[in-house]
Amino acid sequence: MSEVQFHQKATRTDAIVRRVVSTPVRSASDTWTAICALLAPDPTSPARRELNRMSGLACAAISSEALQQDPLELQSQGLTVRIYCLHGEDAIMTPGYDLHEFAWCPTEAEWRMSIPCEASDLRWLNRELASLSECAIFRPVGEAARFGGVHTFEEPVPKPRRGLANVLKIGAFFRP
Amino acid sequence: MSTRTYIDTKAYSVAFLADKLMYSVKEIIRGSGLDPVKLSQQWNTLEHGITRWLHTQDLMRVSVEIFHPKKNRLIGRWDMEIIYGYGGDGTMHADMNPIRQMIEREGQVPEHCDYRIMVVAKPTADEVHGWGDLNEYDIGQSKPRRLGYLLWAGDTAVDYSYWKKS
Repeated sequence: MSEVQFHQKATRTDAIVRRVVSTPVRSASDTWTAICALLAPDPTSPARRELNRMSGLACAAISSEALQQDPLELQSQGLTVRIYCLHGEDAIMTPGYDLHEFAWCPTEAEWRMSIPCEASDLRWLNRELASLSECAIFRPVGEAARFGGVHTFEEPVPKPRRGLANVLKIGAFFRP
Repeated sequence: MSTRTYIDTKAYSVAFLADKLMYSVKEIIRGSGLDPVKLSQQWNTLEHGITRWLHTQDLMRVSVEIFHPKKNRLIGRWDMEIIYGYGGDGTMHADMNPIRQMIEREGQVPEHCDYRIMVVAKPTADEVHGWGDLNEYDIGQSKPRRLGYLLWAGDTAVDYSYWKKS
C-alpha cells in the first residue's frame, strides 16, 4: 500500500502530496502532531510553535474528516504541499508509510496555509485562528484553496433562539 | 456524517470512540449556538483523558452541561453514557444526524448561556494530568430524551440522551 502515499492526482500534478494516517490509528491530536512534524521538523522553530498553537482548531477539522477529500495546502518558495488524512479502513490498511519527510523544510521561508473544514465550522475557526496565526486560514470543504492574511467570515443565517423566560419558568410554576 | 468500518482491535476502537465523542461534543456545542473555541482550547486534554479512561474501561459518561452563568442554573444537559460489553458486531459506527435533528427541533439555547464538559470516570480511575473534580449541576425537573446508541466500536457503545427542563 505504500505506493498510494506518493501518488499524485492526475489533475493536480503541481504539488507534493502526503497522505497522513488518522483515526482510528491516530487520534486527531496525534494526527496534527504528525502533520506538524512533517511541515516544521524543528520543534523549536517559530513555524512549529505557530502550528502547535493551532492544534485545537486543527483537531476540530481533522475530527470532522474534512481533510479526507480536500487537502491541507501549504505554499512556500513557489512550491505547494498537499496533505490529506486517511480515515477508517484506509488508515488501518496503510500503516507506517505516511511520514516520509520532505527534502526541504516547507516552513523555513515565508509560508501560507489553507485548511479545509466543515462549512458550519468556518466562522468560529477563522475567528479564533486570526488570533493565533497570520499564515493560515480555514476554507469550507469543496472550495478551492485560498490564502491570505486577512480573515473574512461569512455571516451565518441566525437561527431562532429560545427565550430565556420559556426555559426558566418551570421554577416559578412549581413554587408553593 | 456516518462512518462504518469493519476491522476491529481494541486500540483502534478506543481511538475511534474518543475521536467521535469529541466530534459529537463539538457538534452539540456549535449546533446549540455556543462558541466551540473553549472546547478547542481544551481539545488535547479532553481527548487524552477520554482515551486513557476508555482504554481502562473507567470512563462512565461524558456530558455537556449548558447553563445560565448569572442565574447559575442548568438549561439542559447532553449525556453520552459509555456501555461496555455491548456485544457489537465488529464494526465501528458513528451517526451524528440524530443529534443535529434534536438540536434543530429544540432550537438554539438562550443567549448568554455557557457550557462545560463533564467527564465522569470510576472513583478508582487513574489520575490524568490536567483533570480535577467538579460538582454537577442539579438535574432538577429535567427529563431525558433518549437518542440511543449513535456510536459504537468493538464491544463498547455510547448511549446519547438530552436532558431538558420540561
